[in-house]
Amino acid sequence: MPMPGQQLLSLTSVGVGIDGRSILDDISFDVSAGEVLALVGPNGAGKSTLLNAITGDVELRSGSVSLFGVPIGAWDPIELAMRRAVMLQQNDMSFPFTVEQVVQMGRSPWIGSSAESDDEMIVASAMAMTESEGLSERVYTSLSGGERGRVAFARVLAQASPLLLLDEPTAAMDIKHQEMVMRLCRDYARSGCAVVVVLHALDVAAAYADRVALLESGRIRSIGRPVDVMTAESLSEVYQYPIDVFEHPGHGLVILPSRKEGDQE
Amino acid sequence: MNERKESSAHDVAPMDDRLTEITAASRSAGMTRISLVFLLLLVALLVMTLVSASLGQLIIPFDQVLGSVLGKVGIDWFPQPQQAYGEEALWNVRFPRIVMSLIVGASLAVAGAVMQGVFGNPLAEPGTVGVSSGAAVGASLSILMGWTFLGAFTTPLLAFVFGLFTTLCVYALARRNGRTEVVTLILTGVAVNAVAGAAIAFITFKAPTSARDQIVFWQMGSLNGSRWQQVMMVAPMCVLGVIAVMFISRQLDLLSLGEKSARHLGVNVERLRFFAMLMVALLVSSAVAFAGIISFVGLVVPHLLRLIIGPGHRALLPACALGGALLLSVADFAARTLVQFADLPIGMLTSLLGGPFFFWLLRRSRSKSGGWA
Repeated sequence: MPMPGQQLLSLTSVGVGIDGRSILDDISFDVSAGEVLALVGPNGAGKSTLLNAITGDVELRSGSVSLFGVPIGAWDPIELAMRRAVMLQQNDMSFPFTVEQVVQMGRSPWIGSSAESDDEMIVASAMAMTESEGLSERVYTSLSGGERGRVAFARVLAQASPLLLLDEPTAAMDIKHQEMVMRLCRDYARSGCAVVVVLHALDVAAAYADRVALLESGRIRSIGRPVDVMTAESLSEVYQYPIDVFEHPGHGLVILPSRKEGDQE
Repeated sequence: MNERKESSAHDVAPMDDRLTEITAASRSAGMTRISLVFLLLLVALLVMTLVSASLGQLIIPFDQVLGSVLGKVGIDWFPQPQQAYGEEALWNVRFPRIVMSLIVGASLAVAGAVMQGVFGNPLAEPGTVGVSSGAAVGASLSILMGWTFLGAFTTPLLAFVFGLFTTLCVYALARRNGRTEVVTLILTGVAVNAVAGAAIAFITFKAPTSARDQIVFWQMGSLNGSRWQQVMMVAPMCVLGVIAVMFISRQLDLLSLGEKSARHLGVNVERLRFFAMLMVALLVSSAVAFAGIISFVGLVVPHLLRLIIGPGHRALLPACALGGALLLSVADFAARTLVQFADLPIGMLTSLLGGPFFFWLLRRSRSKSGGWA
C-alpha cells in the first residue's frame, strides 16, 4: 500500500498524435496517493486520449508515463492490473454474464495470489458500496445504461488497485448515483489510493476533486485546486461560452452557464 | 489499502454476510445445474453410442454390443455378438465411425465456442466464416497431388496449415477498431467461402476421375468409411485442442468485456488471440481432414449450451465438447439409417437444420441491437 503523498503516477511532456494530427502536446503532471484529480475540458480537448495515454492504449509520440516510477510499457500486464484499474465510457459485454460474474472479473488479476482468499468479501462489498447487490442475479446485457455504469464501477472497485482511472463514470447515472460514485472516489483516494477521473460536469469536479486539470486543445491550460483553476474567466475562455462561478458558503463552487441574456428577452 | 477494506467491511458488515450467503447459495445452485447438464450429456452420449453401434443393416442387440466391448477388457458379463460378421461389423465399421463422429463433433463445437469468444460475436463459426472451407482446400490439394511427404499425416497437416491461414485472414479482415460487427463477419465469410469454393472447384476440375469422386463426396461431409488409422490421427489433435483451450477459458471470459478492458485486467490480448486461433485451426483441421465440411455444429451447440449453463467458458467449453459429440453422433446415426441402403452426407443434414437456425439467430441479433450492428 502506498504512503500518503507518495507519487503514484507521473507524466513527463507526453505528446500523442493520431494520423499526423497532434492530439496531446507537452502534458506533464504527477498524481500522488490520497488525491482525486479531475480532467475537465470541452469536447475534443483530449481528455479521453490523455486517459488512454495513461493506460497505455495509445502510443506516445513523445514523453513518458510511469507508474510507481516504472514506465508503463515495462510492466507485466498482470502486475500492471494489480496496480491500476480502468473504467471506460463504453461498458459493453459480448455475452450474457450475470452482474455478479462481471464484478468477479475485477478480481481476475489476483487469481493465484494471497489476496485471492478475500475475493468473495471484496466482490460482495464492492457490490454493496455501489448499491448493485440487488442486481447480482440479473444478466448484465439486460441492464440500463446507469445500472451498467454502477456494475462496471463495482468491477473496478473489486480490482482493488491503488490507482483508479475513470472515463466519465457518471455519464449515464442519475444524481443520486452520480453523487454516490463521486463520494466513493473521494473515500477511495482518502484511504491512500489515487483517482484520475474524466468529468463533464464542472460542478461535480469542483465538489469532489482535490485538483483539477483544465485541458484546452491538447494542452493543460492550468492544473491545481478547483478554486484556482476554475475561474469564470478561464472557463469562459476555454469553453467559449460565458460561465459564471460563485463561491457558495458550505458548498464550494457553484458553476453555471451564464443565462442573463436569455432571461432578459 | 487495508484501511479501506477494513472501514468498508465495517460499514457494510451485516450486508456483507447476507450477500455472501445469497451469492454462495446462488452459486451452488448454478453448480448443481451445470453438474446436472454434464451428467445428462454423458448419459445421452453413452446411450447414443450404444444405440448407434447396435442398429444398422445388421442389428446387434445391446447386450451383445456391451459383451463385445467389455469382452475386450476381460469382463464376460454379457454375451458376445451371435451373428456372422457381427464382431467385424462392430469393430471394423461401426466403432471407428462412431468414435470419428464424437471427435469431429467435439472439435467443431469447441472450435465454434472459442471463435465466438475471440470475435466477441455469437455468430462466428468455422463453417460460416470459411475456416472449414479453407482447411478443405488444403486437404483436397493433398488428395489431388497424392502427396505423402509426411505419410498419412499429410492430409491433416495441409488442412491445418490452410485452416490456420484462413483463420488469420478472417480475423484480420473482419475486425475493425477491436471489434467485429455482424455484417462484416458474415460478408467476410461469404467472400472467404467463395474463394475457397473456387479453389476446391479448380482442384476438383483438375483431378482425375477417381480422385474427383473422392473430393466431391468428402466435400459434402461424411463419416462413411472412417477407419481406425484415421481416428488415431485426429484423436490426439482433438484432445490436445480441447485441453489447451481449457487453459484460456478464464481469459476468454474477460475478453467479452471488450479487448481494452480485458487488457486492463492483465490479459495479454495479442498472445491470447493468436493462441486461440492456433487451437481453432487445429480443431477444425482435425474435423475436416477426413470428415469433410460439416457446418453449423459450432454455431448450434455453443448457443444452446450458453442458454442452459451460461456464458462462462470454464463450463461452456467442456460442455460443448460433449454436446458437439452428442449432436454429431445423432446426426451420423440419422445419416446412415434415415434412408435404407443409403448413406446420406452428414454435412448436408447439419446444413439443412443449421441454415434456418443461423438465420433465426441473425434475425434475433439484428432486432436486439436495433440494426445491423
